[in-house]
Amino acid sequence: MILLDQVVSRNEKTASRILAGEAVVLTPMDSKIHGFNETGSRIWELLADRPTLSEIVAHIHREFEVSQEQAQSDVIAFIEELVARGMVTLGQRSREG
Amino acid sequence: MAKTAKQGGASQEGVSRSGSWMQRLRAKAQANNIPLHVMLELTNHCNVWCRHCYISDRPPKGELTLDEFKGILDQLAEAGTLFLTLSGGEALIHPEFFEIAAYAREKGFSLTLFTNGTMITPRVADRLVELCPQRVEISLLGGLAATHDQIMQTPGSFERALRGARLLVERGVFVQIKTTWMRQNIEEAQQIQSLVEEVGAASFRGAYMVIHRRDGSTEVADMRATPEQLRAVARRAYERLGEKGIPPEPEPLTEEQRRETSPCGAGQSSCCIDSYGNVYPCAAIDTALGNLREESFVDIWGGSQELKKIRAIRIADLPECSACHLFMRCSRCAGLAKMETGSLLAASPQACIVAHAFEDFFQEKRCELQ
Ligand SMILES: C[S@@+](CC[C@H](N)C(=O)[O-])C[C@H]1O[C@@H](n2cnc3c(N)ncnc32)[C@H](O)[C@@H]1O
Ligand code: SF4
Ligand code: SF4
Repeated sequence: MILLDQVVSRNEKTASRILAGEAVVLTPMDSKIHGFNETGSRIWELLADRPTLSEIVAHIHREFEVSQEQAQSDVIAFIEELVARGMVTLGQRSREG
Repeated sequence: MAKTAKQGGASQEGVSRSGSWMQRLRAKAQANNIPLHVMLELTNHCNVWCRHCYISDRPPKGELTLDEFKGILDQLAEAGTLFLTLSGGEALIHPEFFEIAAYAREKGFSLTLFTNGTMITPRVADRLVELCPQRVEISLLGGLAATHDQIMQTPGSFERALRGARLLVERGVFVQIKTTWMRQNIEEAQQIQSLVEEVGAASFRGAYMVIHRRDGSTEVADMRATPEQLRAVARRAYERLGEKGIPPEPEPLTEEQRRETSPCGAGQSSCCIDSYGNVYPCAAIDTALGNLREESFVDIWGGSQELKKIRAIRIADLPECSACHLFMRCSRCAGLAKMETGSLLAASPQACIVAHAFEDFFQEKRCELQ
């Protein structure tokens, strides 16, 4: 199960770029190319800083004018999808950093 | 209303069979002036000495430093480049290859490596795997060791290239074997095909255009396959596959295609940077658009008048080719056309020879079969 204090990191094997506002992500593990919508792209962009799920939710809630609940369920669903596709990994924030 | 992540948050498609996705990406890159694909030449040095090689200055002097490469990669990431091809010369001979490549991966680029494969030992293969390259393209210049080694002018290079390919395939890397067809090797297509299968490479590509050297010398022209040899390739396809080996008659160009379509991708959403920092519309067009030691990438990509002219070229601007019924079948290279004739808009005599050798044979067969 996904916990809100877990840190989300991009899988280091992926290659990606935000092109005209849209994230394009390549996963060499399965030779696939993925495109995200506006919110998905923003989340992918945020992942560069290895945020926790709650930090992502806070950004989406604020930037996309959706309710906290809506943002939370959308973000969790999206991150679960990325985990399933092997594009991100979940971890704990180390105490030092 | 704001879109949420859940509403079709992610869509995906296989890169290898993602024609439509790549087309969409390319169209988007063109519309937004994004250099989606960049070929970066790390060095002109090489450990072998191919007779046909277009690189002419060896040993090179005053090539870019590690810091300069990093600065260029920063600029390319900023400009939106996603696909980065590292080439040369032989990129793997560069003492800082792995530092440059690792930096590129950190910056999010999808990496392709062009190499002669001869320097890929188990240790190098392990380090390449760590970079998660999208693909590695290895040059094989003959189906027989003697032919390959003679073209590369290096005994043992055939075995080493194949070993390199095997080591990468074993480690799950997407390997493409690549052959530049020449008078010396075109009759070994069958052996090359068997080697590609034996090694387990994911794909194979052969190229018929042999371009002139960058110093303008034209002696490599003598290495090109003869029209008779090309015709024999077509004949073998026919003998092997029968009617299926004969492609349908080439489609004529529509008015819209003539008016709207660029004849090739050079400078549209891709470019090439050599090991001195010169930016070119592609590896074969010898007009430098600017130098990254003097100007920023964005200034060259957005400001070069030469590049604007190249981007504006449409098929209709090519006097001979726009009227040619073989256009859709022809592998004309604008850079080679310029080397041969002085004009980026001219027909390329070499491309004409290749296109006609194949099509004339197929046309005769079509008539016979009717
Ligand atoms: C210049 S090499 C650099 C990468 C690497 N050293 C290799 O040989 O694969 C890139 C590709 O260009 C091809 N090539 C070299 N000289 C050429 C020429 N004059 N015309 C066409 N292709 C050429 C090579 O065979 C190789 O496939
Ligand atoms: S291996 Fe590549 S760079 Fe080296 S001489 Fe041959 S074609 Fe040129
Ligand atoms: S290069 Fe020659 S064969 Fe090719 S399209 Fe132009 S005229 Fe036709």
